[in-house]
Amino acid sequence: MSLLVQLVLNGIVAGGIYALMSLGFGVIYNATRIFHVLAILVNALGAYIFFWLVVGVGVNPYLAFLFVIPLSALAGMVMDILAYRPIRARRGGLTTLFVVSLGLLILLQNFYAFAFGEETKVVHQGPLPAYNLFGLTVTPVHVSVLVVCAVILPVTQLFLTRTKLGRAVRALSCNSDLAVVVGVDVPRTYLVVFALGSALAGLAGALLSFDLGAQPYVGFVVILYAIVSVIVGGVGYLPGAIAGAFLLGLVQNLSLYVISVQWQDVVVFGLLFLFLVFRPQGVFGTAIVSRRF
Amino acid sequence: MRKVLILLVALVFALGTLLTACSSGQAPAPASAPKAEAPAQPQAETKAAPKAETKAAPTAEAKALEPYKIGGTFVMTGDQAEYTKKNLIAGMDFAIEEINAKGGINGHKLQGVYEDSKGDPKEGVAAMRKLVEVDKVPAVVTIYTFVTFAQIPVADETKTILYAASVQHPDLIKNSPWTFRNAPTAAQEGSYIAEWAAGKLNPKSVAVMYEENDAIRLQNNTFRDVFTKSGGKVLGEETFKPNDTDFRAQLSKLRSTNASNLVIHGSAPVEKARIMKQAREMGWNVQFIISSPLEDKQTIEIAGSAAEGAIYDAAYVDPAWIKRFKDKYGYEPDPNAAKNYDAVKVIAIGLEKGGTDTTKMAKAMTEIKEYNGALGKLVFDGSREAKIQMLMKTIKNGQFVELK
Repeated sequence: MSLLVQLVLNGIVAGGIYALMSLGFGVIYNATRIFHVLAILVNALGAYIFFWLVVGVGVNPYLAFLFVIPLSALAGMVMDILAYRPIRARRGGLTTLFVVSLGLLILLQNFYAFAFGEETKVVHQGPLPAYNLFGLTVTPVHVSVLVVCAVILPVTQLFLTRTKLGRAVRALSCNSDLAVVVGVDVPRTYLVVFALGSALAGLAGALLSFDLGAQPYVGFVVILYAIVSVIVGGVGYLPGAIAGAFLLGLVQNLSLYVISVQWQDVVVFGLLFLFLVFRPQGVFGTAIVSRRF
Repeated sequence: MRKVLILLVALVFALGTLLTACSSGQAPAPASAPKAEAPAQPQAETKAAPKAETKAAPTAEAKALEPYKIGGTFVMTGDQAEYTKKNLIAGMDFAIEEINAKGGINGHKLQGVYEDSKGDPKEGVAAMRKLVEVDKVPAVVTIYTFVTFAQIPVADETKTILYAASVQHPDLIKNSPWTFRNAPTAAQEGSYIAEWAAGKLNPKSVAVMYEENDAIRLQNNTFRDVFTKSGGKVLGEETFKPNDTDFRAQLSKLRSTNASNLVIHGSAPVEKARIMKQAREMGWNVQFIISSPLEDKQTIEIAGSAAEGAIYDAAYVDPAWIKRFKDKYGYEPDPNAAKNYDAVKVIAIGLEKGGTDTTKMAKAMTEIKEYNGALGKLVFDGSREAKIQMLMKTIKNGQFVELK
């Protein structure tokens, strides 16, 4: 029985990281239609910044998470200005932007490897102190993920619905041409979108770093799951993506109760396959038609 | 005009691909996607093929002082890159420098040339081809069963000695007349651990985590057979893949079997270190019994106090050699470093007796009755597979020490 509950907890925690990543990726995709794989890079950057702050500078891990946010946001904005804007100015299409994103990803990932070394930079040597709560093992990683999600997800939701900038983002996601007509400052909004999306990706990276250490290629698997979450939850509907992420985390971990670990990936991508075939609009499909984010 | 541009770009691409095929195998592809294909690299011959040098013994005096090159194909990117550099390559370089300090082999200096196999069979073959066709090495030291087996056809075709120092798959030696090793087979290691466990564990029951690859699976099968025949019980088995980072699911499942010992079979220290760390984080104080390799700084870095008391098997390594290595490089080597050191020394014996004629080299190497190297006593005696000594060790205060 306690195994089951532990798996549920693990599932929620895994889902939390996927949720942050899928929200970040989803915000950028919805508003700009750019398949921003460079988010992987921001993820890794978040991981390295976290590592540097905790191990190099000696900041308390929980504070370090706070610092990762503005730094990742900055990185995201820089990416937009340097990589995507020139292409958009020349009327480059979405495919071109994706290729640019992919190319820079490969280049810069290897730059990371060159600059920081290939080996995993461990944030905490040895096992983290774990607490025993009602028979469940709870580690600082579990706590961090839950706290970060509990704070960041509602804050993002509030930003998108209650602030002028947030509404501009949603306007762009809904209909970019009309958004211009009603006076949305597109370039500035793009910057906001990238800042927000990258901050989320960077946070996810920092959490991963807390758990596993920083490594140049971290983030690749997470973004895969993030994309699956976005599709399962319903493309264009952000709360759907978050729900999809938690669902994914739970399915991934609970499936272990009945099958062996080797089949985990099969389960995840099998789920994706089923959705694409039978319900491509995702779980919250009908919601998309009437109310897109 | 546009068509001309497109043609030009295509030409540049084609040239670029050809050039990368001929240069080092460090193609910029994310190494974390193990199944992702590297940009298609045709195994093309070098365009600027200079005078074709045969592998026969040097004739003119102009070639008399050309260095003898020994190739190496290892994982030089990703999590294992550090381990490779500090143990596999350092072991070879240590031997090479020692030989050169004594004047080389018959006047020829020794030189090591290393290429990245990325732990992938296709890349391993490309790396080996580069070494054989461009650097003209008579022998290649390699690692990893699946990479080595992919390289065997190349060895057979080009008559190159393939020294898979630490590969444990039993079929290695019989699949080709050019393969060598100085390591216990996976089966030997599995049965060695099983015998020790059956003798020393009380209760005689274990849970098992093993890596999914041919050699390790074989190791686990042998372990299970020998262990259960001696009255031991395997309470549960879970698997993991190389480069996996999260083992908590498997550990949760195994923990529910209430086993007091956890046997871990794997081919690299990193995953084992993470398994130990995550097990302790879950509050599971199980006794770890681990296969080699494990001796790496990253093991202690990642697992920290979780690794304390873990028991593992290792090849016997001469303490005097360890001291010499440590004095020179400043850290303790992994047994694989010793295996690669001895590989170079054995290949050097071949070079000494047969020049770069690989048939003569192989013959000379198998004729070695007894060689005293970093691994202690190695016995070839007509076989291409040296018999080596083994022992059980443990981690005490962050140090790798013999288990008394």
